[in-house]
Amino acid sequence: MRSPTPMLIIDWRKCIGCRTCELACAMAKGSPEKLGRPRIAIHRPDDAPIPMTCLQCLEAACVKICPVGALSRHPETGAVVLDENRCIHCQSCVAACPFGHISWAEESRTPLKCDLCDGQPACAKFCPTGALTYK
Amino acid sequence: MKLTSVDMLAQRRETLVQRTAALAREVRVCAGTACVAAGAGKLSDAIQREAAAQGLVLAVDGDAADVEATVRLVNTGCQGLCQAGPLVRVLPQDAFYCGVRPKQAARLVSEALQNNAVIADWCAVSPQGQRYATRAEVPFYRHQQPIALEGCGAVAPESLDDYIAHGGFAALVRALEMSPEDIVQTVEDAGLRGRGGGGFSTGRKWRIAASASASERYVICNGDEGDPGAFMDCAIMEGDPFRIIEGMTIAARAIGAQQGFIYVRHEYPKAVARLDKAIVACREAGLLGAGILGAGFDFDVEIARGGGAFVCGESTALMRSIEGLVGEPRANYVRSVQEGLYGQPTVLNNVETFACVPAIIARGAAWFAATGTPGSPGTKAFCLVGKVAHTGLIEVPMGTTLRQVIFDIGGGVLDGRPFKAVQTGGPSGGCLGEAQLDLPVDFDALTAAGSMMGSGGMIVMDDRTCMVDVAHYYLSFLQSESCGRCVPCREGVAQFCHLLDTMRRGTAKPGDLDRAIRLAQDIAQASLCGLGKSAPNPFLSAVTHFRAEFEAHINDRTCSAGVCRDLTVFAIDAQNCTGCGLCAPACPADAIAGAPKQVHVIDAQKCTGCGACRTVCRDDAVRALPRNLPCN
Amino acid sequence: MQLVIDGIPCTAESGETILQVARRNRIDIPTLCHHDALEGVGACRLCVVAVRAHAEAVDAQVVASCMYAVKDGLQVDTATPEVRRLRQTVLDLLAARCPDAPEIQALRERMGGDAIDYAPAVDGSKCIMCYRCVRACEAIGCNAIAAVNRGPQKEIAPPFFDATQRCIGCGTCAAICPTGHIAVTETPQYREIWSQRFAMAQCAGCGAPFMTEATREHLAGLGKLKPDYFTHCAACRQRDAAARFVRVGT
Ligand SMILES: Cc1cc2nc3c(=O)[nH]c(=O)nc-3n(C[C@H](O)[C@H](O)[C@H](O)COP(=O)(O)O)c2cc1C
Ligand code: FES
Repeated sequence: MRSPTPMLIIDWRKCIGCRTCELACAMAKGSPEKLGRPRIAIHRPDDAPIPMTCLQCLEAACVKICPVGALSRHPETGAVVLDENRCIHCQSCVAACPFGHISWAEESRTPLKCDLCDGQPACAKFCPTGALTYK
Repeated sequence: MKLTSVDMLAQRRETLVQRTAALAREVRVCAGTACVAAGAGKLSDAIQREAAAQGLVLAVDGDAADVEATVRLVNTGCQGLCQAGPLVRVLPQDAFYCGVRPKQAARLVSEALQNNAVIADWCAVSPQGQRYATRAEVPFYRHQQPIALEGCGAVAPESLDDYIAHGGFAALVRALEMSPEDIVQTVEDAGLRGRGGGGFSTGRKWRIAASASASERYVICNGDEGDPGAFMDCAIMEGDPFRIIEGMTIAARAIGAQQGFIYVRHEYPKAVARLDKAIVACREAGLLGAGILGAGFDFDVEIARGGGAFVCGESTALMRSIEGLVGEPRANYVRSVQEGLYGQPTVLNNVETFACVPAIIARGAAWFAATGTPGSPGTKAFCLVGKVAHTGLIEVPMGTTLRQVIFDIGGGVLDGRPFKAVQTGGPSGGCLGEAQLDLPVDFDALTAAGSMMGSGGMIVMDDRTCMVDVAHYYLSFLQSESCGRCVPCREGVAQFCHLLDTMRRGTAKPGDLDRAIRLAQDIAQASLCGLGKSAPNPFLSAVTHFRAEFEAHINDRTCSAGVCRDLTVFAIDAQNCTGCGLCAPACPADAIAGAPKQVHVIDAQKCTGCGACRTVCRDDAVRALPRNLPCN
Repeated sequence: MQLVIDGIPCTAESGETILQVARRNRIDIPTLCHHDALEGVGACRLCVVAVRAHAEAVDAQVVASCMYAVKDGLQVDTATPEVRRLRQTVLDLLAARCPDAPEIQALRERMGGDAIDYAPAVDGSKCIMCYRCVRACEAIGCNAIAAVNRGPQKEIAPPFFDATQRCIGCGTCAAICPTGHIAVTETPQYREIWSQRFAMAQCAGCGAPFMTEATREHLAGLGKLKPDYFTHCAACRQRDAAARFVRVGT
């Protein structure tokens, strides 16, 4: 079955570990003055590079555990997005993600996760090899 | 015995009335709080002992079953003239004795109870020396008209039989014959307005609750009575508890409620005990519970005890408290008649409001509306306290003037001092001055004058009362009674208290009065609940009527009443001083010197301004003078 | 239904508050105690606005926009002189209560009205009594803290100001506090909050402390997710997941 919304597809065999995605994400999530914290990371188990970022699970553990319903699926992008105005900073989502894809920003007291850049994920846009695609 | 039909109730009443009629006399000993404190319990015991000694068989309280008895003794609820207790009333002569001591019991039994005599030398005397042979002639009672307090001081509070004998539950029988709509209409036509303070139309309130769609509805009686100086609800709950239950049952019938609550503060243990007994008695008699009087109508009442927080008298806080939550008000943009207790339509009325209901149903809307003013029909109970000659519990037709209440009923200001102000409406109300004495007491007139009816406290103040100090007293009461939830009330009232305190201490700055007025208006507008919205009233009304006094405190650092200690020193007026020597030992600062029969002198340097000398002086020789603080 | 806010016609659903509708229409109303995810308390009164029942009505009423449910035809003014003055008073009062809370002082300066300096609290705390911590704690399901006492003495505390089993030391109250009033001490071994010490759980992978033991038990006890979700810190979980993916993929 085809998903009704586009998906970020990770073909890690194509990943060369250049970390362009991390930089692109940091730029997209930061300001011109200051880079943001990237929501994607290249891991190297057994030395093979693999980009790791939120999979936007259909039955998402983070959505399930959030006590105030601050996480929900965006109807158009399909991303699980955080409503920052609803977040009560309890870190339950950070603890709940089985893949560790949500990190915690101590300065802003907010969970950080990939929101697919509102449907135009910077990581996919700049990935030179097509390891990350959004379709 | 369970009364399973209206006929059974009628028969029961018939039997009881016949038994009562067979009694020759009835003696009512007031067992209200003040009279008990003055020794009414001992008096009642003494009367019973004395009667036994003299061979007179007494039926005590509800115990009318003793057919041998010719005289009945009733330990009643508050009879009103609290200041002069223990009170005794003997019927059918209607003789009325004040301050009766246990040692007088023998004469009371032999003369008044064995025979028909009125003990003339015990009767109250007018200032002109006229003896009042009957209670009806006593000015304190002459101008009164009891409706809510009708049974209080008359019936035996713990006896269902006695209540029935006095016509109790006849209104409920009528209500069972009427349609719920007719009951609501009757209460609305009577023009009954809530006696708890706001004065909202009770009929309209019931109508909204009845028409809201819901599976459950509740009736709550507000017996929280948090106003300092008010005790009318307490008196009704202690003195005539069945009337409240009857009123609530009628309300339940009108709106379709099956469960009621009486919210009583913990500090009223006697009221709780009496209501508890009354509820049990009603359940046993089939007047509460399933199938009341055999009609297909179920209703039961439970007591909810409050912790004595003033704010828990506020409707939404009260309901939260019953629900077991913290007694904080919630924003009442949705009214509790629509979404109240447990989110269901809820009728909340004051004790006195419910106490009026049986009379309205039994005697009709027109009868009730004939008393009082067009805008505020009926009567209102007040607790007349403070610097007034006769303090106590009264009930007068709406529209009676303050002057009539204070001077005709209350006998004027204590010790004949000049009248200064009267405080009505408790902490949400305000102070009115001499110029407002001819104001009729009704909801609208008092509100228009900047005070309010409130629940019925009425505190009389003489010329030795400082209005800044009074405003400070109420604001500091409200400061500690604010629930503390919203900023304007919690912080604003505290700041307000502070401002008033600087005025009392002579450290206020010019402009502080305007600052205080602005803060008052802001608190009133921005607060969450009625407590904050009305909190500035005691201050605003005092400023309206006594502005110069506030200005004198700020600008001249003087307190003309001689109350604010930092602004006052006392001096002795040589003209009046008789050298009696009462003042010197009373002075805690050892500031008074003088030989016996010689004019005394106060050392202004040592005087702390406490005023103890003035209080004890019988010759009006102590004067309050400005302390003349250096300007800052 | 339709209503008008500051002259702008707005559409609203029944049950919405004035604040919700205003914010959706990008009309700014300042708030302190309001939080989108928590039930309204109407405590700070900063969000007051003036409302009239309909366009011709003259009588305006001041209400808390975060609590007041919209009605059809309602006319709302969010910045009348009166409303501004009330907000100023609220901030002046809070500034006196919390002289050490820069957030309040800044907000107060931004109001730009005639500020009045009220007598500052001697033992000024930073707590503005917005109840966010209490409500967040309730949302998490712990109910470990509440407002106790009355009047100016009112404060937020655990039952009897004492250690409580209900508290899991998760730190949400401190994180949601707008003024940083709630003190937290963090060490690798324990976290101290509300004068209660909580042992930290160490990550089974890297050994770093990542939540309190009590929080872990609480989350696992919710039964919404498998308990072994809560054994590793997020970073380790991501690292392990990467390894798994590689293994599955090859
Ligand atoms: C701060 C505050 C305290 C109140 N205290 C009482 C009270 O002690 N007794 C009471 O009957 N009503 C009290 N009220 C009024 C109640 O909220 C409510 O209006 C009343 O009980 C309704 O009954 P009624 O319509 O019969 O007057 C209080 C209101 C406020 C705002
Ligand atoms: S935001 Fe509305 S009262 Fe605080």
